[in-house]
Formats: sequence, C-alpha cells, structure tokens
Amino acid sequence: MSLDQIKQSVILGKMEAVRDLVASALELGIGPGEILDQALIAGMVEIGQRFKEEEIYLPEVLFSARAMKAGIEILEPVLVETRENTAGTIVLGSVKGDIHDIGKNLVAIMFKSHGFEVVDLGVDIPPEKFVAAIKEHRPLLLGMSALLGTTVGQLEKTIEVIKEAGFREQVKIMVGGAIVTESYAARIGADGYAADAVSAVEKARDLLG
Amino acid sequence: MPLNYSDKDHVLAAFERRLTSRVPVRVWYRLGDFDESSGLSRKELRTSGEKFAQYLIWNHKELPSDILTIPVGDAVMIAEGAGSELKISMQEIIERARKGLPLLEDKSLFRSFNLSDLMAGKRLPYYCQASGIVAGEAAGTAIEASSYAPWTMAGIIRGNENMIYDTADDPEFVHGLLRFTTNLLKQAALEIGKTGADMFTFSDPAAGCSVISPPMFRNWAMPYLVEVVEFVKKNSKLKIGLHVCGKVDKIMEDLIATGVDAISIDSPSSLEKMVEINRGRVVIIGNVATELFLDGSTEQIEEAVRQCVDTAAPGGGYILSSGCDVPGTKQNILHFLQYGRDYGRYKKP
Repeated sequence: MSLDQIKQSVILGKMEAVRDLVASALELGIGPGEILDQALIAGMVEIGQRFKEEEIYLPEVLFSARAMKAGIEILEPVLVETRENTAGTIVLGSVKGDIHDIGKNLVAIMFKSHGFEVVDLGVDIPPEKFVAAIKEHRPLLLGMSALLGTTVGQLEKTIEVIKEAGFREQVKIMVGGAIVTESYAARIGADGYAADAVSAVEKARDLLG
Repeated sequence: MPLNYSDKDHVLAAFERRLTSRVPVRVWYRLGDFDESSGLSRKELRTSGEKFAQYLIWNHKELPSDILTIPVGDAVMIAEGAGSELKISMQEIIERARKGLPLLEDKSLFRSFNLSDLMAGKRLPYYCQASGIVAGEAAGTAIEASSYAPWTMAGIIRGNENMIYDTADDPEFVHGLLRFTTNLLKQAALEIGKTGADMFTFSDPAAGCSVISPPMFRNWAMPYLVEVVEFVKKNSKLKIGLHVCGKVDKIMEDLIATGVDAISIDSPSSLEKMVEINRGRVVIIGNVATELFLDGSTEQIEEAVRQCVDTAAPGGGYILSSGCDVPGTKQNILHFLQYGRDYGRYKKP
C-alpha cells in the first residue's frame, strides 16, 4: 500500500478502493495530513489539470471528487485532531434566478481540493443572502456564478448590495459563468474572473496573495 | 421563385439548400427577458395557451427573428406525464422547480416509468394551443417548437450530477428514466406537429462536452435522441433541429449521425470545423457569441456576423444565429438582426 496507490485510485474515481486504502494507510501509521496532501489532494490536483487541458471531462472529475470525499470521510475524525488551519474560507453561490449548479459545484470541488473551506450557498441566491453569508462566515473570497443571460445582471446587483451593506472592502469577489467575460467582470466591479474551475483557484490565490 | 420572400421562405430554403436573397437570421432569447412591457402577467402566460401565444407574438414583433420559437415543456408537463406513478404531489414538484431543485431527486418516488396520456392533462394542450395560434397569426415566420432532449430532461428530473453517478451505480434506473423522457418527447412532438409548426428543436445543453464526455454522449444521450428523432421524422412533417450548448467539436460527427435536419452550435464550438465536417448534410445554425449581446460593441457584433456568414453561408444551408440564449440587451439584438440581414445577402453569381 502506498500513497501513490491512493492517488491513482482518486484519479480513476474508485470510491471503494480509496476508502479501503485510506483506512489501511491509517492502520499502517501514515499521518492523516500526509494522506490528505500527498494522495487525496494530489490526485484531485492532477485531475483538475487534466480537465483544464481537456484530456478528461466533467464526469471523470465528479467521480474523482466523490472518491476523494470518501477518503476524507475516513480521515476526518483523525484529521480534525491534527490539522491546523485551512487555506481560508470561500463562499460560493449561483445568483438569484439562476438554478445552474454544475459549474459552481466544480469550483467548490477544486477549492476544497486545494485546502479551502467552502461554504456553498447553493443556487438562486438573492443578494441579501450573500451579504448574510459574508457577515456570518467572514470569507476571504466570494465566488458568484451566473450561466444565463437573464441572470447575469444579478452579479452586478449583488456587488452593489454588498457595497451598500458595507462589506465590499472585506472580501474579494470573483465571478464566472458561460457568458461572463473578463471585461464584464471588471466593468461590474468584481476583483476577478475565471473561465473554469482550475483557473478559479489559480486566480483566487493571486487575489489573496 | 417569389420576388419578395417572407422570413419563413428564407428559413425553409435553407433546409432545401436553395438560395433566396439572404441568409436567414435568428436569435435565441429566453422568455422572461422582455415580458414587463407586454401588458400580460406571468400568471396569464403560464395558464392560458391563448395568452402565451399573444405574448410570443408580441415578443416577436419586438425582436423579429426569422424564426419564432415556442418553448415546450416544463415541470408540470413532466409531472403530468408521470401521473399516478409518482409518490409526490404536483404542488411539491412545482415548488422544487421554482427552487431550481431536481424534480424527482429521490429515485424511490418513481413507482414505474410508464407515461400517461399527455393530451389528457392540461400542459401539452396548452402548448399545442399556443403553437396553433402562433402558426396561424405569424404565417410569414418560421415556427419552431423547442424542448429539452431526453438526456437533458432526465437530468432536470434527477439532477445532472446524480444522473452522472447513476450511470455507473444504477444504470438500469437511468435507462428507465431515459425511456420515460423519450416517450414523453415523442408524444409532445407528435402533437405539436399537428399544430402547423415548421420545426421541432431538441435542446440538449447537458449532452455537450462541457458536461459529459463523448463516450457518455454516445452511450447514453445519443441512442434515445436518435430514437425520438426517427419517430418524429416518420410521424410528422416537422423539420428536426438539435441544439447543444458549449463545446461539441469532438462529437460533431455524432450530432450529424442523430439524423436531425439542423444542428445549432454554441460559440465555444468551431463553426469552421462544423462546416468542414458537415459537407452539406445538415443545416448549420449558429454561432455568434452570446456575450456580445450582453456587452459587445456594434463593431464587435458586426465582425462576428461577418465571420459567421463568410464561414458558413456560401452555398446555403445556414441560419445565422446567436450561439445560445442571449442576454436581454434589445439594442444589440436588433442591431444583430438588421446587420445580419444586410450583410447576409447572397452574392449574385
């Protein structure tokens, strides 16, 4: 049993194998942080890269994410005792009127894979709920998604409401979605834009320094 | 050949690979973008086929594409199709649809996948009434009914992520669900075909390479799509269209092999490649980037129109269109329609 076996099982999306291998690794005395970073996260990082390069497709990412999650469930009880800080908290949501969630979920998976704590508000989120989440969770970054032409205007509206509530300076804001562009993101006052889930993590890291 | 072509003439000529005086032009726009000025309420639109038709005609006058699209199908129609086989109330399904949740996320809610007679319910008759009125009153425009394809409709019912997992964990359930949506769409298209509509377009946003892999498209989405396309072609005079959002470059040959008459592609896909692969077999529709309708300049829209027309229009069999649903910037949409009609004039031999 090696960490590479776990990593390869994550890459292949083999949920049961990951579960069993992680349990075996713990029994062998391998540290939970090591298993998380060098096997589970490493597997997802590789999957993310392959996805970005269009070698694989969304279903493969989802199966790998599910396998990683199965491994984390085994690790969690011991990990809580040993792990210190996460990379920070990110709040995500699809804007009001938009019920699409695959892209947003993928972004959540990638952020979690890179050690961030993700508060996923879900879909059809009104501006006020984003404000409440900023107030409650104090995230480093807020990510909003709008897939439709009919809902893209909600990105701008939500940013305005966050400004009015006095929270704009406390949080970086990133936007994305099929028809959103870098220039549109800049025009509505977002801090960043990403075209895909892997780029979202890279952009977030840039923004957060 | 008529001297003055109607908008519909341009569209139908594209299907026959004939040249009229110009390229047909259309924009996909979502209902709800421009509804406030129509003088009709959302409730009226949702409950009366006649009012829905009025709204579609009003909307078409505001944004006069060569094709008027009637969106067919919603949570209520799906629930009526499932009928007594469901262990959940219609109200609960509507509520889930409003919240954007999968309609029947819990697999155990299905007792079976038998389909009820949709014409015995209210929803398909509502769409048929609207289609009939629109076909009669907008006779100079090509009338297109549009519904989700079997795979995407199944994803709306079960949730796309859940369904992707199901393909590995419970394939029989996915086949059952796809059997249900396929039969539902056969019935819906058949009835719409009796109303005077010219086209029926299956929209399959969850079947593109942005959501599933090419093998998954071939193994899961395509067989049921082919079945419904064959059925509609055999049993109606409707031209059959297919729209898939996002990237489709790696499945273009497969899309053509579904047997549809027209394929609409989105801006992330290559129009040039589609033309090259197609070799005149299907009508190509597309693929001006939707974001240009949101914040593009006049010059950017004109450049995109020129690129598309120059790439795909020579020889006919092409409909200039937005790649997908567009944002509601009326000025840009009107400019696109006008410029497309001007620039798209076929050059005389």
